[in-house]
Amino acid sequence: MIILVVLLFISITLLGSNLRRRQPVSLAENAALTLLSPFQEAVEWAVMSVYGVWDRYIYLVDLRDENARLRTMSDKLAFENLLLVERLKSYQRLDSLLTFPSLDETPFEAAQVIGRDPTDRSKVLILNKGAKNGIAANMPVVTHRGLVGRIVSAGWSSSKTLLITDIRSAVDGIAQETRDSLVAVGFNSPTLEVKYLSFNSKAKNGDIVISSGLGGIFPKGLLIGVLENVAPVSGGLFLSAQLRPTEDFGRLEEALILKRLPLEDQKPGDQR
Amino acid sequence: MRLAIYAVALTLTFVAQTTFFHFTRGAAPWPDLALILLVYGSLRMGKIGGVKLGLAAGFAEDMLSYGVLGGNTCAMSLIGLGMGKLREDIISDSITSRALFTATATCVNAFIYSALSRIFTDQAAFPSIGTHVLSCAAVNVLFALPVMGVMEWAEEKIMRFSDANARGKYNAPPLD
Repeated sequence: MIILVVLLFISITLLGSNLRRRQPVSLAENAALTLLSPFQEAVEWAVMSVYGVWDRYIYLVDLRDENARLRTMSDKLAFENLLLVERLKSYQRLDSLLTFPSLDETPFEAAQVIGRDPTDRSKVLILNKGAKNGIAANMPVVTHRGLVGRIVSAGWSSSKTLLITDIRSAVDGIAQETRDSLVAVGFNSPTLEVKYLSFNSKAKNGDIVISSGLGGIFPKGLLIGVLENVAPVSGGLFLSAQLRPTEDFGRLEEALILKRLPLEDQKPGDQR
Repeated sequence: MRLAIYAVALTLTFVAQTTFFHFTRGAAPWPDLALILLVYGSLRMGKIGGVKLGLAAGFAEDMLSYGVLGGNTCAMSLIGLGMGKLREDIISDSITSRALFTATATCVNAFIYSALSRIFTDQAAFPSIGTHVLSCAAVNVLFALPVMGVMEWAEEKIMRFSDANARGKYNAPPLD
């Protein structure tokens, strides 16, 4: 009987904290993250070393063909890069004229993925940077391939990132070509569900979707993914579609944390 | 000593669950080793041990995961209590009961967590709970038997070594 009372008390205390902010357990959360992070880093290092030996010294089939293909691609990309640099310079000139806040000026912290969610009920990454590196909740996490998610909890030396594919995650986006607005909602699966894409939209499969900046957490212009299975719904006001993230979260090893907080989380004197 | 064994096992479980399994790169679902350890602990130690282990495993899972806070603590403590009580009063520890308990615990865990998620966050915990539960139960049962076997072997060896040092004889677990 006493056990049941104790169990109920602990569970109700924890469950009750869902009704307000999660401050009361932040110490325990920090302790759990901090305690496990050295082990996670050690396992990550060991496994990646084994992968490294396999990838670099053993698994070299088709290396010659791949090398030739990559050289061709590299030449092509160098040319494209040249054109893009020119475009970027012209964009920067116009941008400075209009004084838009630029993402280039946002400070960031490179972080390594040292762990993931212990259950498959949520999509969480554990990164090896925490409060001691200036990381705080609600900072966006990105890679060069696009949006990854946002920090939901920062321990002293590590932090938890909620992926955009998590069922509790939603990102406001824009189809880059047609400028139609939409909301990309996580579904605990590799793709996101697209909601509120107007029935009159000309968006099609393969179109790129970027963040709109309207949610307040993610800055505008970050690549989210590519549209798939765009189809009208009979009698519906919106198109049905899915969004495949450009980043493969299953293989993610490093990410960048943008040190940028939403307005409501900023303290007086913080730089955006 | 037994407390230390389970604490180490639980730490190793969470290190494996947050790192190693994910290197299988997309081969989900992964086995829930914490739940397997909880079922094993409840079968070995009864309801008191089950509740303690469930509380520790659930709380650690809540701290490392994201979602309804306390959901795992509540679900796993209740599973520990229920499994331990059944073990004390009705069922003996055997391969069949281990497999059956693991499958049942997986389902109960998912349903309790799902209900709490609906109540406290008004969000679904899974896109499709039926498919999720079936696939997870199958994977957990597959892993439960070898994992519990290894755990039993390790526990027995360590306890025998520790008791031999202390009193010169091995004390069997209370429920055996």
